[in-house]
Amino acid sequence: MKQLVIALGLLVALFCATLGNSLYLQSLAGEVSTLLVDAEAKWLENDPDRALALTEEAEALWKRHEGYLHTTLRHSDIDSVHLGFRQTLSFLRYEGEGEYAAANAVLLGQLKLVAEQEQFNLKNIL
Amino acid sequence: MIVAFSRTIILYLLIIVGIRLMGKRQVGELEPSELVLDLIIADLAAVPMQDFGIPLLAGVIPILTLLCITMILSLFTMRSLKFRALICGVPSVIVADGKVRQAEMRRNRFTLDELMEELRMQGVVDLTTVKYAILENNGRVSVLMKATEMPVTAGQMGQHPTDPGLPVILINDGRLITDNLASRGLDDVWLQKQLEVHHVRRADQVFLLTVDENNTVYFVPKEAKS
Repeated sequence: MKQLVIALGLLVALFCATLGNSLYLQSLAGEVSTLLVDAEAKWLENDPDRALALTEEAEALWKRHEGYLHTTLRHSDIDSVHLGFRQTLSFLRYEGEGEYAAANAVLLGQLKLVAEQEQFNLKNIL
Repeated sequence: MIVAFSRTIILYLLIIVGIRLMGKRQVGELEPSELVLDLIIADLAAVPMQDFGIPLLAGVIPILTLLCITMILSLFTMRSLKFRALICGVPSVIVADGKVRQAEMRRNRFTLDELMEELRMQGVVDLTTVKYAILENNGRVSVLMKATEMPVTAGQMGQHPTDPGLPVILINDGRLITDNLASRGLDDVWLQKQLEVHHVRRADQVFLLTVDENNTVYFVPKEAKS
């Protein structure tokens, strides 16, 4: 009976931990995406300094969780988000207007994919 | 490379612990769920060992999940006859009183060639001498011969031989196992006498020393190193 309880308990714990991870990831990606969307809005309002600050804040938020993310996500996915930030910030800093919008869109897409691939749904399971 | 080294150790130890917790069975006696575990677990561990871009948890979590499910299925199999029959199947009698039960053989997709092969491996060439042949869940065939074909036992001849004892190892390659000594109700004085009888002075000069319930001692001294 003890073995059954331990095995069941561990199974439930694994399920809860992995589900918790997917919810946490969705929340984090959501927060970072919100900052990036706000940054793009500020950029469209001709406030590039505020756009840069918001993008840097988004990058800092992502970097604060990088240690945890490296233990749960493919490293190539994390690297692609990191490179996306580098590219977006460089376009903002050096005022590459068209390129900034494209780079920001790609970065938002990468964040969305990173969070989506960890969600508990039929599409991912199959 | 240090990453490969560390991941290999972690995953290897995890698998060892997991397989150890699954208990002692030979491959032929594994339940289907345990056999699946053995087949999958090696691949699951190998992927994060070789691909450093995948987090270690990508191997650890599936392995732990499989171990838990296998343990749960094993425990249910142990507790419920119906569940055991569902997962493991039931043994089938394929030969009864020297006659082959063709319907059972068809049901188990067990061919005549396989039956004759199994019987030959157990020294049986004449089906009429077989009382029962049972196809077990692990795929092996158990054969029970007719009484007239079985070897005579000591009891049937009115003999009363002494039961053999179960030897317990007291000294293993020079190492004295004090727990086994105590479990046989023996002490260091008895041990010293045995060593003197066999012309050695210390336990580390002994390769193997066993004793059974009848106090029968088996002694092998260590060979001199060349």
